Amino acid sequence: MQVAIKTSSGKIEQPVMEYQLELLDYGFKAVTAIPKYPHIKDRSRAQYLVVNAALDLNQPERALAYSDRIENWRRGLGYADTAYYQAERGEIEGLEKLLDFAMQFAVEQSSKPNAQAWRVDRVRMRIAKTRALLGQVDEALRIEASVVPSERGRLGAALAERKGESDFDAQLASLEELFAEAVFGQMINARQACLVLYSNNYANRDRRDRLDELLPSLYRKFPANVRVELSVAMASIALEQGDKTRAREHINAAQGILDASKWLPETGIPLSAELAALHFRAGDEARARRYLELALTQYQAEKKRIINIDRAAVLRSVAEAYMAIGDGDAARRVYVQAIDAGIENPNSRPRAEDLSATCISMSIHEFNPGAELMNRINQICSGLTDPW
Amino acid sequence: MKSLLQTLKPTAVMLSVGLVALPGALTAQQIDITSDITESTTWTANNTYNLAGQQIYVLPGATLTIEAGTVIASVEGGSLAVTRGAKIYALGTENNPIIFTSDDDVATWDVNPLHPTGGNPKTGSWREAALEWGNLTIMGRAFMNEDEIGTNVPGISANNYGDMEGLTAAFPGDPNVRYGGGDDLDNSGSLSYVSFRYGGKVASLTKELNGLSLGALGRGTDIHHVEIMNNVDDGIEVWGGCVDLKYLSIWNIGDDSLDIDQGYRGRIQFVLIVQGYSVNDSQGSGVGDNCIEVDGSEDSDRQPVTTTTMYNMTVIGQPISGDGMTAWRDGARVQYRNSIFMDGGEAVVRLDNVDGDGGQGYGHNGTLSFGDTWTTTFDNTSSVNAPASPENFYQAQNAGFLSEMTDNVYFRNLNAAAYTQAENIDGTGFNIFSSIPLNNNVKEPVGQPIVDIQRAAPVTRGGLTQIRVTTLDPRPANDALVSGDWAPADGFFNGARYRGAFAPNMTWLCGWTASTAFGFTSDADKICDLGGGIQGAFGTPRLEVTGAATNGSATTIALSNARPNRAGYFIISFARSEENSFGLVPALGALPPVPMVTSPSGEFVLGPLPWGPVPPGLNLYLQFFVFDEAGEPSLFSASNGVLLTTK
Repeated sequence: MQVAIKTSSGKIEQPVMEYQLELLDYGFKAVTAIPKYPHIKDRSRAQYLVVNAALDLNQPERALAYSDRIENWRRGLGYADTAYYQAERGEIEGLEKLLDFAMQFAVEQSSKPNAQAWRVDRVRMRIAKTRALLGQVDEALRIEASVVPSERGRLGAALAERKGESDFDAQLASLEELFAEAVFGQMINARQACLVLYSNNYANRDRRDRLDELLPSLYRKFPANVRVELSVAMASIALEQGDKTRAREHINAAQGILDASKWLPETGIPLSAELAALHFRAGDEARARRYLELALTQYQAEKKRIINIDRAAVLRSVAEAYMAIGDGDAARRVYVQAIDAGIENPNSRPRAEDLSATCISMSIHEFNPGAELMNRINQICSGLTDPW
Repeated sequence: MKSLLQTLKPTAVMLSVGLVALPGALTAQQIDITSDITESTTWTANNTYNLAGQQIYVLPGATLTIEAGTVIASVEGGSLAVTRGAKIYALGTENNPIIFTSDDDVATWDVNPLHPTGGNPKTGSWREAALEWGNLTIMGRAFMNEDEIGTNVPGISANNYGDMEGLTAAFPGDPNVRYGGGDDLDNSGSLSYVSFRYGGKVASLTKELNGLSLGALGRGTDIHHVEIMNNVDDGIEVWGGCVDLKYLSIWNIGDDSLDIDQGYRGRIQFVLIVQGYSVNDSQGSGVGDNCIEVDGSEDSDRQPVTTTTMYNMTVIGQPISGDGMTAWRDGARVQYRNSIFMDGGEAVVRLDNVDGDGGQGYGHNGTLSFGDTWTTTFDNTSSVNAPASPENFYQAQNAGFLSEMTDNVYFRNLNAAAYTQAENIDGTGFNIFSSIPLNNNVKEPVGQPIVDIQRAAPVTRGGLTQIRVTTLDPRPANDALVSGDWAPADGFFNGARYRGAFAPNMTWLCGWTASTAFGFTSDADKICDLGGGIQGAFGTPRLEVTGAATNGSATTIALSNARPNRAGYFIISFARSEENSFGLVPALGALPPVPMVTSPSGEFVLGPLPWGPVPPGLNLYLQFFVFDEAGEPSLFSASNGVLLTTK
């Protein structure tokens, strides 16, 4: 079923470079070429990632157009995400209709024999988040209360965004209570709420200090990758506030966790690359470059241990970091490697997924591939065929 | 009274009759699979495939699609493994199952005048055999833990992985034999209506293989309607991950019928286990070990630890020489509910405590003791090596205690120690029949909880006395007809209001299983429960169909457990819905939905409807929908779907 949704979101469409949109379109085209049978689950997931990218680039109309072409429950997720995007920006025209469509797809999925609750509840929680942003907190809480436990906790970020400074203590208490209940899925979901709270209160030194102390302690027993990601996110917020000193503390904390743990290359290299980019932003370019070179060396040394469908993702993370430090030439070299790695597998499904992910990465990170590389992308995209 | 078919359109009838041709009528080619699958491929129903004596891998990025009705008949040692990042879509149907068997199983697959049933999956004959081919192994990227990998850490980590039992690494660190990762939503594909027979032979080692091996499969993987018939090692073994499993039928297994380990966190419902024997061999003894054996983790203080809920199990043991009905090891936490445990040869609750493989048992390093798990609520568990708490990732349990046996019927478990542990868990005095308020457990009732079971004369196999089940009608009877409570409406569980794996008057074994083809279970009525449904105020409304659909007979179609005094629709169709949108089992189109209203007791009965002349083999798909605001978020409930085939 095609759903024609007219929203006011065109008003908030932000200008981006033409190549960025072209990359998104290639990304969507590539994964849409994957046959629905039997690949509907993977095809839809990959299409949804392009919807997310369109929203990241402030292109809600495009996100809706992509969502219309998803043919499983993730279409509802696309609509709900777009609704949330609009609600965040105060654009409510057409939003209710969008939420209705999102719920319609949630309901349809929930009714399938052998349906799995987390799928539909993920859509419902996006709707709840949007309701929370719209001030319909009771309805949001009602929905949240009826979803599976793993999907709970996602409301926190929306409520944190909505609430004023005076709610700080209440929000903090609420988060502490959530952590006291200690349900992992909820705590992972609550991370975003923690970060929103941290960002919103950064200027208040007392509150920032409290959160600086509290957040790492809340997550201290979590897996190393979760703790690294939390420190990275807190460092990013500090950098956005112009506080390089505090950012460096978070980066060093993350680096310490990274260095103290054993990682499979496909997990460890992307984390190293992300930290390298942060070192640069915190003013240490030499260290950033050194870590990126080490990451590439490690990739070459351990390439055989990484299955070929995972290699491009590792390389993309390094390319993105090079973009972050402003070295477009190095990024180009690594992106080209990523595109090559993405077609090492003989099957078009993983090729399409990798090409799409690389296109999204280039678009989001404002890497202009130029005519020659764009032509290569087009050729790969056009060449996607059996075997899938 | 109108006949059920009086309103059907003639054209639709003819179309449906055309669909019942048996696959044996097709010309089949035998195709040998001799190398790994690096490029996606489809195995089609018009051929028979042979895993030609080798371990065949579906390599990362590749997808193996197997059409409904396809038979894979392999020689000794032939086996199939789906690696992390690869996919398998084996989508059989209730009338056209996918069958993995051996090339010796000629009665199933070989179209040959010497054995005229060959090529028809609905026929065949049981043989005392196994170890004739390998198995299917699927490896995913969900969380698990394993203490034999040096880089693994005791806590939950995306870096933790295992090397799959029975597979041989081509080089140190070979990713093709590896399972585990950090994606609990991982998708390894889908299996439905797949029957595995006579397997367990590993390609190159002295070890044996499980009928179906599932390593760290994520929730994005869909598995339902799977049968294992005669396997020399375990029937189904699950290591870690959180894939949900539904409609499993496991017979004559040489080791544990269902074996779980390494931090499994999925949910399981509708399982039939029938212990028997297949063939004697080194590892699996050839005769059944435990019916269900659950380990928490490789060592009991590791995370994740197995934490699962199983509803609607029918577990039929070996009454003289069988092992435990449920075995508990290394911190496992399991809730068994709405189930039947009968004819066990040993303990209903068997506390092994350790796995015999280095695990240090319940209570190790500050973890909960076995007794503690029965008195500790599901959301409040050990903190040893846990990320803040062991509830991490654990979504299968949502009420009650970590370990539970409630709302079950225990019948004819005659061993002197059958209930010793159950009535004094871990020596604490905790008694599953009295210590749990409203436990609804029924111990040794007078009436048998299933309709019928017949066994052969005792024989000795592996030094043990075995009494094989020869015919079984596993439908509920007596105390199993109605349960005290039912599974929660969590999107996976069906709110079945009965005990055991089958609804009254119907089974879901018909049409696709070896048990029916071999005559152990009957589909003489041609009434098949297709499952599905949407829970309402009183669990999932139940559709029961009684009376064969044949000239001179009458069929009664009865709805129960629906919300009282509510409008709804009765749906009947000649075809099954492909999309299953809104829970719809029948395809809409040929006939309009019939409006109805439930009675003050939430029931509605249609019939008895007399049958006139009717073509045999006509498929009718039936289902009820009832408006019910408890059916969140859809605001309606739906019964199970039923396939009624005319005779």
